[in-house]
Amino acid sequence: MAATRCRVADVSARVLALPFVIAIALAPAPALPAPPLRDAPVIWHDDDRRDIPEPRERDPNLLWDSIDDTAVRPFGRLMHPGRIVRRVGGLFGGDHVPPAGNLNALDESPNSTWFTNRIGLFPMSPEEVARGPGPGAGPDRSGPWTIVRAKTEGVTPGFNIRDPKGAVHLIKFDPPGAPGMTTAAGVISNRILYAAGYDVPEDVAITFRREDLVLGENVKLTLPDGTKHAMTMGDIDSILAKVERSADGEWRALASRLLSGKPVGPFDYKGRRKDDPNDRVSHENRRELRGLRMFAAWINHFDTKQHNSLDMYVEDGGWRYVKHYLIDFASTLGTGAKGPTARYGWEYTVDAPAIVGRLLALGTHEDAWRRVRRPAGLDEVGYLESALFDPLEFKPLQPNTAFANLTDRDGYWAAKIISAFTDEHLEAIAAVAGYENPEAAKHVARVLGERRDKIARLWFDRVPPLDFFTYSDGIQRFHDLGVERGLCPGETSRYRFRSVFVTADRERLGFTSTSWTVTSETATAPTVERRTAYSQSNKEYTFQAFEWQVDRGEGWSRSVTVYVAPGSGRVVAVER
Amino acid sequence: MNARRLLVGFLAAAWCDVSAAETPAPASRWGLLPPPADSVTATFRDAPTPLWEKTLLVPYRIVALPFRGVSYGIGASLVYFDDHHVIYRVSQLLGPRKGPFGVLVNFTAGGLPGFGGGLTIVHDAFLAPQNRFKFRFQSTVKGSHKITLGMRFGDGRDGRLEVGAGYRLRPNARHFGIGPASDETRESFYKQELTWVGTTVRGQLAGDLAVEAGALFSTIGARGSDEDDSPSVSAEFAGEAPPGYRERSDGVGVSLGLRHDTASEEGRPTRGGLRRVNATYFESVDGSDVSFWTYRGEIEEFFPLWFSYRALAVRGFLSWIEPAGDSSIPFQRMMTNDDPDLLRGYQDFRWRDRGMTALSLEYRWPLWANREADGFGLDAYLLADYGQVFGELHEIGFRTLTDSYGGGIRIASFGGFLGRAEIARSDEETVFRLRADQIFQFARGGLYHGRDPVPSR
Repeated sequence: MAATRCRVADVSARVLALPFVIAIALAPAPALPAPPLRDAPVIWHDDDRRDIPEPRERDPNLLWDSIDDTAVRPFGRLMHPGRIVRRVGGLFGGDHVPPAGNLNALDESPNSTWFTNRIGLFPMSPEEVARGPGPGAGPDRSGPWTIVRAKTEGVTPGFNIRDPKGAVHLIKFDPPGAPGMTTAAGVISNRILYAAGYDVPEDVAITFRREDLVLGENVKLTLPDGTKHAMTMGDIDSILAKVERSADGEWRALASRLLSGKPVGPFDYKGRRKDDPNDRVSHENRRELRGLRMFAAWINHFDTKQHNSLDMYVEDGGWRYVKHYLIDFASTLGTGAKGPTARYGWEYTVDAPAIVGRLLALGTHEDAWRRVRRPAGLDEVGYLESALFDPLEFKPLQPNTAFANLTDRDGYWAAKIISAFTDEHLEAIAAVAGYENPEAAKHVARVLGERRDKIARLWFDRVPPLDFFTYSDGIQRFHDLGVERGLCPGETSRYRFRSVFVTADRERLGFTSTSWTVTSETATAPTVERRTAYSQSNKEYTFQAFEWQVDRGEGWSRSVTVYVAPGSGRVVAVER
Repeated sequence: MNARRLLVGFLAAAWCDVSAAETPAPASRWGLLPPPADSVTATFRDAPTPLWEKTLLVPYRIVALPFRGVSYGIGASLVYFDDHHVIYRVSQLLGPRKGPFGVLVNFTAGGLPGFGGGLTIVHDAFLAPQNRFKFRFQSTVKGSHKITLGMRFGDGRDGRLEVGAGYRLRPNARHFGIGPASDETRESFYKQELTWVGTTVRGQLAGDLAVEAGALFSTIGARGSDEDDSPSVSAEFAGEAPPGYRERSDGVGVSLGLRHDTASEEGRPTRGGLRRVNATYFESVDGSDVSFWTYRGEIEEFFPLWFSYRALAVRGFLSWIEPAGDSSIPFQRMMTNDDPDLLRGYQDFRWRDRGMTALSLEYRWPLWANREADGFGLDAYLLADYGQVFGELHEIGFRTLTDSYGGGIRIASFGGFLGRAEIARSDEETVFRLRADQIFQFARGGLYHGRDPVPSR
């Protein structure tokens, strides 16, 4: 809540001698000054669609990327002096990293080439959520599909097909022994992330027969050792022979429509793309990438390496820029490319702290993932459960720099969006996943709902879920998302506020009311309303700050401060 | 930005503003959300780094420079090798075999042999699906060499025949004297050469009970040591050199035994065990008129503990050589703490006598799993070894019993045990070992795996 304090003077170059360094290290980390308040429309769009030259294609090495993410970067974060100071300062309040760099005054992430506000801010019907980014129909079926490329690297084979309308789709299969599992997981996670606001390809669960496929001309097959040869029909049959078929002789697969534009490689979760002038915020400081950690935890998306992202150089109305996508969601919901794996999502591939912990514990502690079981009788569902799930304990296969920068505000933002998915939304998504057993769809929807609630409770306990403030005619209205989403009892929730005049730089003129005013309203209605008095006593102090807290019966929460320009009735800023 | 783009930008902005005026803003939880327009669009940038942090980053970056350089070098090398498919080809060589034939690299480190390695060639369907072939070569920097050839016919359920041969040179074998009270200060060295060829037959009697019979020809010589390994036995034990020193003992042994093996796996056994009794009669063929009986009883048990894959492994054995007649047993054929009868806080050959008994305990727990709990992974273990050699049974006692304590890490997979790295300490020394074998379940080895058959165990 740094901005509610008086502004802290910069600790400047006078700090060179060791005693001063120690003193500062032990003091609360000085906060970055908040931007000045202004009585103007809130920024909802990032200006990152300016025309740029085509960037160079990135091709990071998979092996080095995993080593870098697993060992080099975490060590760098551990030793980074800025983080050390902030962590010490965190003991006195504050975050271990600066706030995200792409936030508007309402602590929301504006629409950008990275993220578009959808279910978090706008109502979406279950049908809309289930449809996803495209019409949801998959490859056109008016004629055969022409194979234009094939892959044999990786555990699961696949190939690219061009449908009769010219659209190219990547066809991916389930691993042996797990029919339908990764296909369904890919569809469900795709829909969830799209509705949340991320840009994703159009993934659809499909079935097809051998006669639906024809081989294109001059198709080369690349083998794992790098050699290539002209693909033959026999190669197609060899690929399909490794894939299980359903009882009616059809193959089940995931069809992922190739994105429009020119691929320029994945985006790194750290740093910026140097040859993209629109990329001005370091990726580890982007709200949507930090918050992705909670979405990943929700759907157990353990394979969040940069290679499962894709930047596309697109053209839109004469402007050419880079758009950023998340791709490949087969490794979610407790399954992966090699089939269901209990451990994934609980530990990094090589998790040094966990290993050392187990060594020192001498085997007296049982890891949670060893107790996870697959649901009996549901062969299409992987290791997805909710009883042992702990959102903060989620770990992808390799550490993620942006995830490591998650702050309470970022976590709350993600939880706000996650909790916007109702049970109906989740059931609608599971229904289009292609499960043969309807009980599998019900089970997955139920478990996702339970995991959703855990995430929401975690962050709504840390950050008061008082949101979507409006102010008009002297009445403040806000939503208590904890009550609205059925997580907290409305009848026993109490609210209190106090207000103060502030300048544009948030300097205070004492308190107009120094004591808290406890409202008599409870949150039985969708919104809480409170008439708040305003009077301008000093021309400099043109804004009024209202500090709100909520009590669920366990004491008053941290504050949420709302800044209002009473003259225009505009909520100009929110601080958490 | 050129004029054309400026004009396009202006027109686009104007269009957006016009559009904003014409198109109603969608209703969001915050109220009406305006479409893109200059008034609601901004450029976001990273927040500036505070001066205090910039100050701290100066020495940090200086100190980090060499680490960044090393990291960059390693990364560039890995990328180069990966792009040229070198890593892929090495992984095919070292990784799980896709077919019955394979060439594997083996390593050893620690102990008397020192650091070394070699190749192992295996075929898991040699002449027939249930037959196996293994050729192994290993050499160390201290001049220890070993070559073994083993073949197994049959899978053991209905019977199994093993044939094996091998040669092992140990240039720095040690001798401290014979008996449980041998003096640690009287370390001396000799060169031991062992050659063998033999066969064993195993037949299932009932359930997990099997009978084993074998015949082995072996020749084991104890020569003077090299100059680097001094003092030699003849120097340290002048006038009282042990029988068999500077001689070669050739002979044939025939054995008969029973084994009851209920341990279901080798990688991470948590239940069952191995019980063995064995008797071997040896007679020399070199004219030295040496003959003796070797008796051995052994038991291994694995007990599951409180959580999954926690196990207590217990192994106890007693081996005893009974001379037939008045013959002196060559010292190189006596019982000693050598693979697999290790007292792990001591280097090989510390103790030697006609008999040996030991109790080994290992508490094991999982440390890391690659994917599945019972798949490839690392387990940690704590160990305790208690044991001694003896010339007569009444010499077994607490005063002469040695103890070793330590721990290590095992590498295991679905296919079984792969290797171990351990460190153990006794009152005399601390020993580190890096091995591809284990003292538990060693009896699964035998001639096929090329385990030293002398002394008879």
